[in-house]
Amino acid sequence: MPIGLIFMKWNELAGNEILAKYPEQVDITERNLMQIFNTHDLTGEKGIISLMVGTINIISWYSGPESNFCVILLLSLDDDPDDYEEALIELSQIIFEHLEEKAYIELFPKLFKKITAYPFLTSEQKIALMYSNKIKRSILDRLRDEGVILKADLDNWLQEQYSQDYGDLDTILFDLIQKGLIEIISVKNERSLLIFLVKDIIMFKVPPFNLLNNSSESGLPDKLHKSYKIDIENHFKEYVISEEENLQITEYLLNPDIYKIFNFLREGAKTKDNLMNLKEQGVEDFKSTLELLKKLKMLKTYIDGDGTEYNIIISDFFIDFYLPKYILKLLKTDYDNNLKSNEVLLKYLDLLESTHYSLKKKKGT
Amino acid sequence: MVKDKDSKFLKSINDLRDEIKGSNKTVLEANLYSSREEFVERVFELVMKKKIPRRKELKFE
Repeated sequence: MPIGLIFMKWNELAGNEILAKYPEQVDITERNLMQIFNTHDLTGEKGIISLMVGTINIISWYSGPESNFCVILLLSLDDDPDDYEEALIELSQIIFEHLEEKAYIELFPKLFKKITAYPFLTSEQKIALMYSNKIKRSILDRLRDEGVILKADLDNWLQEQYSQDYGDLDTILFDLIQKGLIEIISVKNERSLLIFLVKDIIMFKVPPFNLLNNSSESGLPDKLHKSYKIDIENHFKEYVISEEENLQITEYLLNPDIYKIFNFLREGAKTKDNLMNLKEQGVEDFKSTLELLKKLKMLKTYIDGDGTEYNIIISDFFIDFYLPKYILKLLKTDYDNNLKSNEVLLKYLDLLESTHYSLKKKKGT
Repeated sequence: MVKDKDSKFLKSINDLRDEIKGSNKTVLEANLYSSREEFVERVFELVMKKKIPRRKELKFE
């Protein structure tokens, strides 16, 4: 488990200045800070390092020689720093977005809790976490419309959208590269690097297939199971995929209590007594979660003849990466209208093709 | 609905590549998704595995 989180800045006059830390009692010597900074400084560029400083296990993100900020996560000896790398990038970006008036200080307890939980997140939660970042979402939206953009243009556009210090673009893009969503490549005769969308995030509600077939799977009494199937059928006949609804659901996936309850409900119908048992796992309030899920039409309560209430999901959620095959149409239009150079278009076709094969390889088909 | 077979997608890539390189081949527009929305719908249909036809008066088997 992580021991503490420290945000510091190095400058020639003051040396290493701690700007925020959590928990308050977490301690690190000036000498240790200098060792961390020097290790970053030796690389000469922004990025992440992990190292042992004395008996302290550390992973640290450095903003680069222009600004000299470090976000340092102190770990226990048995922690693997790699488990926290993605989360540290994400967290560093959030800190950068909140530099004004030192707004990051208030966020520290929450950020520390978040990074501590990160290695235990499921893959759907990790995608949801990435998607919950509004700047990354904006970049994806723009790439969905254009396929490929100049990095310099993206930087200017983000500055217009979110003010000058929206964060560190390289850090933001690094996470998108790590997730395999984009590739950044230099193409002949282009005035800056180009960012290509090679995977997209697709999400929508789906029926809880594992509970549908019969009452023994759903845990509902036979006569209620029939209504259950009809309700799901009716919901999905009318269902329209909505970005707004998706964002709401991804937010819930990232709430530990809601997610615990939702996963429990994924197993099948649960009575009030079943849900009360979640108290042993630290979930105090399940009622408000049931209401939230009902508002999203993801849950329904059925009442048996003897008055027993069964809570069961009528909708599950799907979120995954896909090859953006729709981009081909865009490339065709760009070609027909001379909107992009042939070099860029050909490079993009190569990237789509290679991503297609690597996805197939991963799936083993 | 466009058939989303891998071979069709790869063929479209190759055709468009050839077209850009100046061959007489032309990529067939009919083989391309007209929008991201159409593509997402298609993925949705695949995930649903046609178990619940939407906006149609069909019942479960």
